Amino acid sequence: MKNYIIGIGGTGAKCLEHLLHCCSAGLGPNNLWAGMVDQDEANGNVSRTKILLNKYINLRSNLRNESRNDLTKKSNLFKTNITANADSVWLPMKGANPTLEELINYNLLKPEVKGLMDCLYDPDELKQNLSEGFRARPNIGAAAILSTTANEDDIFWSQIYKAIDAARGGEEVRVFIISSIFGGTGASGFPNIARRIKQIQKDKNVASNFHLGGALMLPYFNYEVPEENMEGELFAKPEEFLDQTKGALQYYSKLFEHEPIFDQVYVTGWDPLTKLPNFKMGGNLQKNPPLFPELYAALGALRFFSEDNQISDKQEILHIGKNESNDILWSDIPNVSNNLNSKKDISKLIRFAFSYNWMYGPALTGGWSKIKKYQNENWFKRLIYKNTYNTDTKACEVGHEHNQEIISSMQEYCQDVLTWITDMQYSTIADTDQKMDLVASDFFSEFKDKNSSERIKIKEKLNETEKNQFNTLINDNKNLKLLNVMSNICYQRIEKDQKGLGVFMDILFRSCEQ
Amino acid sequence: MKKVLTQISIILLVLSISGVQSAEKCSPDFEMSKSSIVNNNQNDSSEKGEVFVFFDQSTTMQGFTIDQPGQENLYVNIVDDIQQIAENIGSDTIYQNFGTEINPMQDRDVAKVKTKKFYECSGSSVACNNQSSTIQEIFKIAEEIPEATHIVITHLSLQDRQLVGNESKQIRGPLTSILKQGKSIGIIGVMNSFNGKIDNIPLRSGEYNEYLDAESRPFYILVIGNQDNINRIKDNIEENHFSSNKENFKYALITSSPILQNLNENKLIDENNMPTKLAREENFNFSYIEDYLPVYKFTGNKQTKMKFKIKNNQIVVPGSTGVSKFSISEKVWTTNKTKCKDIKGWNEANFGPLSEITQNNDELVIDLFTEKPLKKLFRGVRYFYKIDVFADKPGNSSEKEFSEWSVNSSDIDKFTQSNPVSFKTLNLEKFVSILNAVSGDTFKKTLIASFAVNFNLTK
Amino acid sequence: MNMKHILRSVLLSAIGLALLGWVSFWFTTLNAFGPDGESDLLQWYFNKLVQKEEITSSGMPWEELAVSLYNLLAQMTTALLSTTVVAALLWSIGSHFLNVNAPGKAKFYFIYWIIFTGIFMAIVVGIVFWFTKSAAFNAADYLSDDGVIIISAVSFIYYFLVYYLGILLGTARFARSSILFGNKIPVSELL
Repeated sequence: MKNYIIGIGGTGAKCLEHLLHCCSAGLGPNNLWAGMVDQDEANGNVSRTKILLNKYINLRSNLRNESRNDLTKKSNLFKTNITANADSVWLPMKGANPTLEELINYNLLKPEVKGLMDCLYDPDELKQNLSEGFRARPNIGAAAILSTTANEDDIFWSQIYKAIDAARGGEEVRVFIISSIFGGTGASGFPNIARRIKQIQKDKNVASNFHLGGALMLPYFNYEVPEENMEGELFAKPEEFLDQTKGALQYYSKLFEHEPIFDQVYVTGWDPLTKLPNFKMGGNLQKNPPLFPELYAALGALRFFSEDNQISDKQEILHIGKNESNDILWSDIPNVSNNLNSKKDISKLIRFAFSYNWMYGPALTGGWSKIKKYQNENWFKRLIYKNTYNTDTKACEVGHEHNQEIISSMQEYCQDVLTWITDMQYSTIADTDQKMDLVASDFFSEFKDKNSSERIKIKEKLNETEKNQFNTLINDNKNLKLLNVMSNICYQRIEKDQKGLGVFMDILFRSCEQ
Repeated sequence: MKKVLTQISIILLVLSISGVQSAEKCSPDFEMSKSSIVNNNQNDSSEKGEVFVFFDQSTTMQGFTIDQPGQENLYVNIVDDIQQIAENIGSDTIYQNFGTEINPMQDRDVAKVKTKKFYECSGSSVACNNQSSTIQEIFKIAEEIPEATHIVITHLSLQDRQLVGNESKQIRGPLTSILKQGKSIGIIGVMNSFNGKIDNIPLRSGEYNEYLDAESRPFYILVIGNQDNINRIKDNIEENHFSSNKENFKYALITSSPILQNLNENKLIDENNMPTKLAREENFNFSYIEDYLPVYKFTGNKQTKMKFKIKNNQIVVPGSTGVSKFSISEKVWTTNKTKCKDIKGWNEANFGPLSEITQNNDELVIDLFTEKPLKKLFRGVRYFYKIDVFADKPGNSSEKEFSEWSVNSSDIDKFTQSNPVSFKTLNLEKFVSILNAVSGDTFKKTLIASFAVNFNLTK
Repeated sequence: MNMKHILRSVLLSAIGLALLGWVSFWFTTLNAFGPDGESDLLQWYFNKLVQKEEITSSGMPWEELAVSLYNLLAQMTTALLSTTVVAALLWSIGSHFLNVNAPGKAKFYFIYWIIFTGIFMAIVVGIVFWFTKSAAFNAADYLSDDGVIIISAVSFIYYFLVYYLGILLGTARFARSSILFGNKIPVSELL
């Protein structure tokens, strides 16, 4: 089965971030192509997701290298083989300062067409610099996207065409798009990209094996727009989100009724809206924190891709929500399938990130002269020494550069996981009456809500008391202690064909399961 | 049916009793050591023997009959007493005097013994019988008539020649025979006033001297015969004349058997011979085997103390030389069953000496398990430890008794020159020593007591 | 705590104990049956363990007296072996609860092992003392000073080795650095 996911706009990128972490936890399909669509190339969220995607792909590639470090197929850590284009983001309108006027060659249009354009678009809208996105103007976005999605040679769209070809060849293909129902790129991209894909499918006479799914994010956050310096500027106004959503929902209602483009649509929102502390019009300063509802979209996508998901001929619209109280619980997180327990796997990932970041990563970092003090310990002998020993040089190569690169990359990734879950937890409920204690994070992190660039500061080192709080990391009834992790890594069976650091990484990951 | 059942029950009962009796071997099999003491104290009450009384008629004895101012003269009274006692203890009393020879006396002449005339020689000195005291002749008579009681009143000063060589044999020989026949010799010494001549004092030059200035001097009553008669005579004299002050009275009994009795004969050993603490030991029991051997049975521990004591006056004839050496004969049997009913047989052990025997003035003490302490024994084992106590050698206390009144021939010259008021008896100690030696030669090792301890240790 | 790992430790510990422990079991059985005629063991006891002169002088046949000594030794070795097994299993199970929660931490629990082993050895000494020197057994009286020394020394060394093999194999893998030479055990999925 071939799977494709497209995150449209900033929301799509953020949902993709959640999805990447879920895939590293083993909740994803065996393979997945990922791409993003955003006119705002430098969007902070898109950039963050792009970086994360690259980290994921690199780390996975290093740890699934049959000749050196191999987790092997059986491992769920970085299970999903995610591929992406060299540049995973597709800009509908390229160029330094693209405008709608340039895109439609306004000046060359016949007057009557010009007049139509004038009716549809304000002069500001025609002249708006679109390099930082469509500024919550789906009408602009729709025009831009429609005019550029037809290009089969485009490296981004060629993937879609290949996917549909594969479906025609008999292979099952699933494509999933995520975006917000409000805003700019997302609102415009979602229906148009979906329709475009469907059109391609129709053009290629692919009637079966191809499924299209989508996640629509209803409004789930808002922010305060500062009065000063905003006059004349086009930007997404939160007070307009609900109206836009209302209008969009009416549109989709009609669309789904008359033109069932999607096989499955996952709809979700949030109430009360999360209050984001900072407003940025676009660009790299628009770096919103990960929020809980985005996880729903990611899980919806993973559910769509799951082999257990039997897609019927009839279009399905699924909505996800949490319990009615103000407490956000683990039970509010749905399972991807009967075999893929979201809470179990995400918890496992978080524990793995914790124990690797503070316990094992530092032990394995450095040269052999530093690391060798552990050489008599069972876990080290069994998982590291034996598997990084070079029979030619008769030395353990864990301290060598190529291994150290992987070790530090993994440590970085683990910090990303911890930051992600902590940020999501803090940011989702900040300034609301809601409560989210999925993980105990106070003892290892610091939350600075006003600091948009580094909202979460993960502690570099933990003392003994803080380390012992590991068993309260995941807020549920059962506790897993670091002692249990240590015990598990000493006893877990090493899978056949695992090599190098893949042995340790997989066993540590598996050892973090409750 | 009922009859048959009754018979069966009786048979079973008998078998069980006999089974119990035969099964229990609470003591090993051994030969009981019985005493060989002949009770010399027993007089044939039905027959009184003859009594021979010998008065020393030598000149020097005259001094006892003449009062010395300021000194008590008991000689006369004692002579009377002896006459009285002799009549009482004997069926017939024969009086004799002796000097150089032994001559019979008429009864009516006995009174003369108390006068100075008795000791004077009317004829020539050669014909007189008073120049010396040949006491050895009396011992010969005593040897020849052992069943009689022989009483000799004499000064007992003997010359050296009488105590060595052939003349000494004349004393030793008869005495040995007397003692072997179970007779004894009592020496009663009385320090009496003296007013006369002490002659035959040997000088270093070989000549003899005499001394006239003595105011007191001992005379002696030698009694040869049964201990009973000896004691009667001694008691009579002692009670009549020395009840309050015994300073001038000395007594010694020379006997081949200073042992009074065997304590087992009359079951004189009881629980009190052992420390009272022993009776408080677990399972303590005191009993006699075959009515002869006392056995102390108990369950003890390694700290248990066992000290067996016998009073001297229970085993030693009063006044006798006593016993100078005791010994014990030990035998131990062991079994690894502590309960009597489980014991099938005993094994004879070979421990060597286990205990120590000591004697003080009052008692004889056997300190058990001093040589091999209890802590070296095994718990879970039953021990049967039998001890026979023997008298090995008579004592020589009588020599010490009379040493005060004795002077040797080598010292008498010097003694005489010191002008003593109270004169001593020449070679008295030597004489007593000879008697002791003879007594020692005739003494047989005697079993005086036997007892056993039957015990096991628990901790 | 993962019961599977603990059970594995128990099994490995039992194997370790059995490597040398069978000797004790055999010896106990031999003694439990009592003296058998003029066996070598009976003679060896007489020559090496007991007060020969005292026993000979007691007059009792050695074979009869030896019954209680055999009984003493059977009971003593039973107690010692049981204690050793319990100690080894306790440590093996308990090692899973040592808070070795990070790399490099296992070696700090060496002091725990030393103390535990010290207590165990003290108990071994105590058991030997109780059997050979106290008033509990009459047969202890038969033992000579040299015999007690031999019994003590052999028990001390032998049961320490049995215990050590038991804990060497039975200690939780992550806690092996807490026992002497524990880290020398080769890495194997079986161990």
